[in-house]
Amino acid sequence: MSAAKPTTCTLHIWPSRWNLPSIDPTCVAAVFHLQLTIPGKFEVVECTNPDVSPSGKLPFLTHGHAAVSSLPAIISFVSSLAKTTTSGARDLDASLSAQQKAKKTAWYSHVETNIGDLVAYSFYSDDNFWDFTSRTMASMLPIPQCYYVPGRIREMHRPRLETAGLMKPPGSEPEKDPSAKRSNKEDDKDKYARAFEQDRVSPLRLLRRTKASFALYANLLNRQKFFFGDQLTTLDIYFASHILLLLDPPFPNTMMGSILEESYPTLVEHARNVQAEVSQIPQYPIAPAQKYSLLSLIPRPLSNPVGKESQLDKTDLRFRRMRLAWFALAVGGVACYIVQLMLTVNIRVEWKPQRGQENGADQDNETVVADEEGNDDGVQDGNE
Amino acid sequence: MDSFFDRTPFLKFLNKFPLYTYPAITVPQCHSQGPTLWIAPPRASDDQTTNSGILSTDVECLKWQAYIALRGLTDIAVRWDISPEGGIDGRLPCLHVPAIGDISLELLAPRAISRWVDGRTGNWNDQLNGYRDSSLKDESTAWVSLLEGVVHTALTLSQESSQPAFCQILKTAVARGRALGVTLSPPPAPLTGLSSVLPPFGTNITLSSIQGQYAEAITSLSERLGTDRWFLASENPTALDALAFAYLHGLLHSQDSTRIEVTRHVNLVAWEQRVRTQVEAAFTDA
Repeated sequence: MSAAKPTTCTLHIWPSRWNLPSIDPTCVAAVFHLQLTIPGKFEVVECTNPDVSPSGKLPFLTHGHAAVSSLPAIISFVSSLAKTTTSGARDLDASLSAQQKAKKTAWYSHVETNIGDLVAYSFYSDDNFWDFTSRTMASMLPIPQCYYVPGRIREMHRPRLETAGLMKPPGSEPEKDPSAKRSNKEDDKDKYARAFEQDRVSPLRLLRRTKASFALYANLLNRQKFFFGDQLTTLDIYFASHILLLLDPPFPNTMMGSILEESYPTLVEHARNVQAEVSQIPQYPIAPAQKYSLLSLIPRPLSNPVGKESQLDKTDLRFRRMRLAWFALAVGGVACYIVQLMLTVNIRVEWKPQRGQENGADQDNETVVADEEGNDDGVQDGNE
Repeated sequence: MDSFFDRTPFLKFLNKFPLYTYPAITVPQCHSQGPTLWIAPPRASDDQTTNSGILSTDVECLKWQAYIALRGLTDIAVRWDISPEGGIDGRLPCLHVPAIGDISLELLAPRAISRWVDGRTGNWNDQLNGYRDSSLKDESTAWVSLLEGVVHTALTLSQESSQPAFCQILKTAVARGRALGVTLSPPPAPLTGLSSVLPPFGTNITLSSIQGQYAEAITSLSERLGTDRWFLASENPTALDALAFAYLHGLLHSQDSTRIEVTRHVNLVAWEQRVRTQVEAAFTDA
């Protein structure tokens, strides 16, 4: 990673594809937001190891000693920068009233859940995952992560998609028609087909749900350029980042994109308007990515984000050395004390047989002697 | 005739395994002759003057209690001696409707309760579901997403952290991860990371990581309510009001960090108190 200036923010995102800044909607939204608020004051690092983030997910932003993860936290951080006059940052939501900001928060959450579910379905459904998404992600990831990380990300989204009805839970089978009589061979073929169609939901149900979600936003947009008039806000950026990831990737199953272009052209136009606004700003610099390390195979401590390691100054280093020296002296002092204690204290152990045992031994000895010499000499004293 | 079973060594062996007979477990009878809502147990209350010991501690059950009460129904009993496994789909709440005349006995799942309430109130034809116009009805879906997303997650995390440590250990990380993965979008990353060779385990999410989003959500809720009687300036209470009440009531009885965010907004506290009085008055103990 290049040495960052103290005032430069570094945004870590999934790599870019399909003329979009990233393959992840929150990463795209983060890039758009920073380009519009702090143009020229940030750099981007394309990262394929989300474990380096404090939250375990991308995007995350580092600025000096601070590391901020999740898009709302990044937006809040940049907004706080906007309040300082020296930073020159712009607040996109400054023109909104208090009630409009409240509505924006609610709609933001709705985009996150409903439209986010549709984007996740597009990427992780059976139709697109095996032939498109997993190959795209595997081409970005090093060995051995390319073999298991795409599947893990898919399983991470699975509970949410199952609850939303966009994916079937494993083990759920379609109802059998009791009146249909099939041969054994056809039954095997049906089972084979059903096993691979396990995740598919009814196309009609999917279509209905998709159209209902898009219709809400078409009504909210209401033929305006942006959701709150002519001014671009964070809601427009977040929504557009999701729509662009439904339109631009070359999915094998392009159902979502087709529905948008045929039935909701206003939403497509809105996304392109946002993209056009962002493209007017000069391109951000892309810093070289971190070199791959086998340490990524080991779970990274959550309290040790990337930002803190490279920012230790002389005072911090001196403090660390002094602390290590103190611990070493303390341990050494205890060890010396124990050794000295062992040298000065003599511990003697003597075994003294009890009196009863001695008399018993003498009698035994007497007995043993008499048996050996015969009885003429009588019993001799065992001590002789 | 001397049979094998009468022989003394065999009897001695059997005496090592004595047979105990326990008395039959009496099934608790429900004395209510009207509809009864099965809910999760309420919070223990020392206040004898109010009916505060009748509101469920589970948000889902409380949401339906509030929905029924705010729609004007007042003759509903509640019982909390039935475990969730006894409900439809293994969940509570359920509404038990006794047989009356030609209407047979029914046990309704949550998805059927709203239709039953519409039947009791005679309100079948409201396309707007109580909202003033279609834009507000659309906006209500956004507020529902906010409440069932980050607010629900904050409530879940605050309730978990208030449990004893051994309870948190016993509650498997898999169950907790699945519950939060369903609530949040995008879902939280596993605690062991995505890139490590270890299998995914746990959930990398804490209350402090969503504190900012949660505070913003509560502030937005307060701003949108303002001085209105019901959310979105509706004339009568709607499903959104029932949901908002359930979450606000739960948050006001949660640990300090989540409770304080709500208590900072006087209008939310006053609104919750007013609605709570109405909801408590609508139910009786079965």
